[in-house]
Amino acid sequence: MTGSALPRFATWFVVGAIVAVYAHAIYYMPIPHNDQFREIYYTLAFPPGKIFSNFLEAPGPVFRPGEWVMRYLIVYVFGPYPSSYNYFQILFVVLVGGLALYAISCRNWIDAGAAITAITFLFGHHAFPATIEGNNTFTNGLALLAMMAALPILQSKGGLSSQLLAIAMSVATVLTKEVGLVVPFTFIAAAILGFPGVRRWTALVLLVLTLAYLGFRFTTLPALLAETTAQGRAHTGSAYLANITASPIMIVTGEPYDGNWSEFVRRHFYPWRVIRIVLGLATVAIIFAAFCLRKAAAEAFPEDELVDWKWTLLLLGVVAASSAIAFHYTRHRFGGMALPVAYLVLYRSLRIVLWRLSSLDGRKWLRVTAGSLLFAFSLGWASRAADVFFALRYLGATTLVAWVEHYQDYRTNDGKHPESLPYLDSFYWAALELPWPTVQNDSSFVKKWLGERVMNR
Amino acid sequence: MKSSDRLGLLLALPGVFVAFASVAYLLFANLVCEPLYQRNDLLDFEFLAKVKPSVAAKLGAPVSPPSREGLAFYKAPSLPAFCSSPR
Repeated sequence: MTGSALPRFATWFVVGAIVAVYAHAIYYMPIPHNDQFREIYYTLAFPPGKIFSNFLEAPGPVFRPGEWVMRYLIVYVFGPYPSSYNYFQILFVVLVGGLALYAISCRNWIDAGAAITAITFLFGHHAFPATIEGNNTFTNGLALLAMMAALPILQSKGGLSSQLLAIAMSVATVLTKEVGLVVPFTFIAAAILGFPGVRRWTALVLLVLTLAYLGFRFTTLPALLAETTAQGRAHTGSAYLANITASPIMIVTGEPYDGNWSEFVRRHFYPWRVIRIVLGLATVAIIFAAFCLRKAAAEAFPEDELVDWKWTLLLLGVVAASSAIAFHYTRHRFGGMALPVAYLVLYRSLRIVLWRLSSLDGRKWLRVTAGSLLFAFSLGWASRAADVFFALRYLGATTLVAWVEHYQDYRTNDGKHPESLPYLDSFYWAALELPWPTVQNDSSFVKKWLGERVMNR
Repeated sequence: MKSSDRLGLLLALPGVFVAFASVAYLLFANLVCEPLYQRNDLLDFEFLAKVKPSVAAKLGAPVSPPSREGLAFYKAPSLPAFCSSPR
């Protein structure tokens, strides 16, 4: 194996192993009842025409026809079984892994070290498992996937096919969930910032489509605000502002949980929580360092591989847009749309920082100190990527117990639609036949490391 | 090896280690037995009380599962070989 092949192989190996172990955990995850049983039942019991005509006649507070298309596709492609959703989520993880590899180049060990650390950041960041946590959040996963696919488009030469793909992806994600607005925003912002991959006419088309969508949404938004009185939803201007300001901090550090600052001091400071905060701040510091080094780095790297104003502003813009969309309520998964740009910027930043460190002559103590800190940084994100496997396993255990605990409640609630009960029973047995994650056997070290409510990580 | 490559390799090591551990676990789970999962005995009240005492206390007695007759859509999952047992 040649010198350049080994770093590339190591990077592929890491992506393959992370995808495989996540897929393993997802394969044994039961489908939770809340938020989606009714939707899944409708897709199984009624033809698409009936669902869409009902949908258009009486639009609800949310307008997500793309979600219904996806649900029908899942059933048509993978079969009418509960496990189809597991296969779909495994496909999502595989595609993210493939696009993560496509977005980077790996010619030497500097590239590989940066790429492997950035990949563990992508899969280990708290926003990533949040897109898998209940399979109704797969729509956030779709937005994450579209943002991964946007990375090569931004850096392309702006050919016609990439422009059409940008428009198609934007329309599909916006019609699937409101968070999809970040996708056209990214393309429009990229055109303004001078990225070569997005033409001005593409940005103009996207701007018109986005304004049309927003016009439609603002006319239906009062219905959304009047209907949702659920706990944790904002209803006043100051509460919207609190969510919008908490979200970027949450994207970086994971805190405050659900945008609630009182949770910050109420919850135990388990090791993973401290690590998460430190790693988030260190990631920002590394990106900032690479930005400051952009002029010196221009000697060693081509212009389109730097962390310049363009990429920095795009990253800030994507974080701001994701935060703005979280005005009504904020969750970890709202950071998912910003992850792909952050992933690529972190990869580039690490390459630049490593290059700078290796070119420091005669200051061995600085190299050793900075190298040790970077090793700890990489170790931290690798441990976070491993944590996600355990978190998904715990999530499976929680959902399994919920089926036993709440089955009678589900049956009472769904009893209004007696024809849905055979589907409910199918879900029950499909869940109860899955293997039990042996969480009770985990060592006290694992429990102390992960905390009691692992999915709240 | 150049000093820049040494630094890059240092940064790659934790991720590579996690990848090796993941592959070792998956091979063990699929070729020998599944160490992190076991047969699902949640309908056994004693087992439920052991793994989730709060839920067992709330239920107070074993739940009566629904009938398996006439399930609208169903496919038995393929289960791995187990080597864990409840403690």
